[in-house]
Amino acid sequence: METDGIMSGEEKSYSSMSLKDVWKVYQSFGRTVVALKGINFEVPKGKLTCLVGPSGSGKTVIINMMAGYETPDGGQVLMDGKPVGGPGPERIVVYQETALLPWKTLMENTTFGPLMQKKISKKEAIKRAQALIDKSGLTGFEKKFPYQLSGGMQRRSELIRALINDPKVLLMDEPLRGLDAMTRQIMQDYVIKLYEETKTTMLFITSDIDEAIYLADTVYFLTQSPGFIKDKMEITLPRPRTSDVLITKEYNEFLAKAIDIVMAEKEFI
Amino acid sequence: MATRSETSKSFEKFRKNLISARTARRIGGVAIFVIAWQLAADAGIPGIENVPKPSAWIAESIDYVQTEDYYLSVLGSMRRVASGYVIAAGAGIPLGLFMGLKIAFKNWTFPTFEILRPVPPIAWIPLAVIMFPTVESSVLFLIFIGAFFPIVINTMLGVLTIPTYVAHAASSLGARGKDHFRHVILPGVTPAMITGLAIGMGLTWDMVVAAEMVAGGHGLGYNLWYSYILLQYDRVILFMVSVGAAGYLYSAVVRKMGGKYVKWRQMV
Repeated sequence: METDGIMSGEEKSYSSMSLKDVWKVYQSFGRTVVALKGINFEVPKGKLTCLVGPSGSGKTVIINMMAGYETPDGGQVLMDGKPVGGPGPERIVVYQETALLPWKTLMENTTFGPLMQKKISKKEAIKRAQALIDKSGLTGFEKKFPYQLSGGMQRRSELIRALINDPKVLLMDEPLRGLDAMTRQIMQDYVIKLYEETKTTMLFITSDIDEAIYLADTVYFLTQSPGFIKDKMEITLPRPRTSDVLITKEYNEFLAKAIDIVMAEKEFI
Repeated sequence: MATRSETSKSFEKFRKNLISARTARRIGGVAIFVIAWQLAADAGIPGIENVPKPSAWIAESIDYVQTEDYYLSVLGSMRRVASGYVIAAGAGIPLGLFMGLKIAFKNWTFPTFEILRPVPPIAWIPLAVIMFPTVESSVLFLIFIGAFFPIVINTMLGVLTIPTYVAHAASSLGARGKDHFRHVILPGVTPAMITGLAIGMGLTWDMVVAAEMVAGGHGLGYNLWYSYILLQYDRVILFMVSVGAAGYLYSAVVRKMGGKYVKWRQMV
C-alpha cells in the first residue's frame, strides 16, 4: 500500500478553514437543545488538525456545516476567510460509514467526482483513477462493487475518491471507526503518509485520543452536550511520523496530558 | 476452436441446469403436491373428496386446453393484466418519486393517498362499473388499482431509505440536479421500487379474476365462475391452475427484469 507521488508532483494550493463563535440549536419535542455553544477553532492550511470528542458532542454537525450540508444558527464557518457556501468538491467529507455509491463499482466511484464536475474527459478521469487505485493497493478490484470490498479497502477507496478531486480541505468524520485493530493501525499509517506527502489541509474527527495524538499537528478537545472547545494541544512529535513514535516518552507525555484534559471534564458531568 | 469450446461449454451448462438438483427439487415438490392431492381424494378425506381428482381433471382438460376458447381466455386475461399493470407502473413510479423527493407535494397528496390505500381493491368494483363505459375499461381500471398503491408506496419509501451521507457525498463530488437524480436517486430507489412492482404484480391477478367474475365477458376469471355455474368443476380447477401459472410467469418476468438492476446488492 504505497502512497508515493499520489499527487503526481504537481503544485497544489490548499485552504485553511475556521469556525468563529459557531452555534447550532435544534428543536426536539418542543424543547430547544443547544448542540454547539460558541465553537472556535482553526484548521490551518497544510496542517492535520484533529478534533476529539465523545459521542453526542456535535462532531458530525461541525463536519456537516464545514461541508455545507447545514448552516450555523450563529457565528461563521469560514474558508480562507470567506463564509462557505453549499457543498462542493473543494471540501470533501470522508465518513465513518462507507458513503461510496453502492451501485457503482470502485472505478465508477473513483471517477464519479471528475465526471460530475465535467472538468476532465472520461479517458483522463479513468487514467487518474487507475493511478490512484494502483497506489492504494486496490489493483484488480476496479470492477467490484463496494459490498465486495473489505472495510479497510472501502476506506481507502473513499479516500482516493476524495483525493482525485484535489480537494482544498479534506474533512474526515471518524473514518477509521469500526475497523479491526490491525486494519485501523494500517489505515492510520496510510492517513499519515497521505498527509505528509500531499500536505492537504485535513480535519480528522475521532473519539480516540491515541489516534488524535498520533496523527495530528494540533488536537482540539470538544466537550459533551452542549459541545464547545475546552482545550487545545500542539503535537510537536516529529514528521515524517511512524509508529515508532508510539513508544517514545514524548508521545506518552502528550497522552497523559490529553487524558487529564478529558478526565477533568468528567468531574463536572 | 473458440466457438466450439464455447458451444460445448454452453451445452454443458444447459445439461447441468436441466437436471440440476435445484430443478429436480422444484419439479419434485410440485409432483409430491399433486400426488398427495390424488391420494387424499382417493382416501375420501372430507372436503377434499368433493374436489376433482388430478387424474380426472387433467384427463378432462387435455382436449379443452387445445380449443380456441381456452386459448383466448388465457390470452385475454394476460393482455388485460399487462395493460393495467403497465399503466399502474407508468403512473405509480413518477408519483412515488415525487412524493419521496418533494416534501410539499407529499404534504398535499399523502393523506389522500393513505386514506385510499387501505381500501381493498375489490371494494372498487362498483365504482369501476359506474365510472367506465365499457367492461374492458372497468377491468383495466381495477387491475390498475391493484398494482398502483404498492408501487407508489414502495417507490416513495425507497427514496427515503437512501442514506443521507451517500446523497451528501455525491453532492460534494459535484452531482447536481439531473445527474444527482440519475446517479443517486434512481439507482438508490430501485430495490424498493422492484419490491413494489413485484407486490403490485401479485395483486393484478387477484384483481383480474375478481373483475372478470363480476363483469368479465371473457377471460380466466369469467370462465372460472361460468364453469362453476355450469357445475363443470374439472374446468374450475383448470382455470385456477391457469391463473396460477400465468401469475407465476408474470412474477418471474418482473423478478428477472428487476434482478438486472440490482446486481450491486449483496445477496444473502
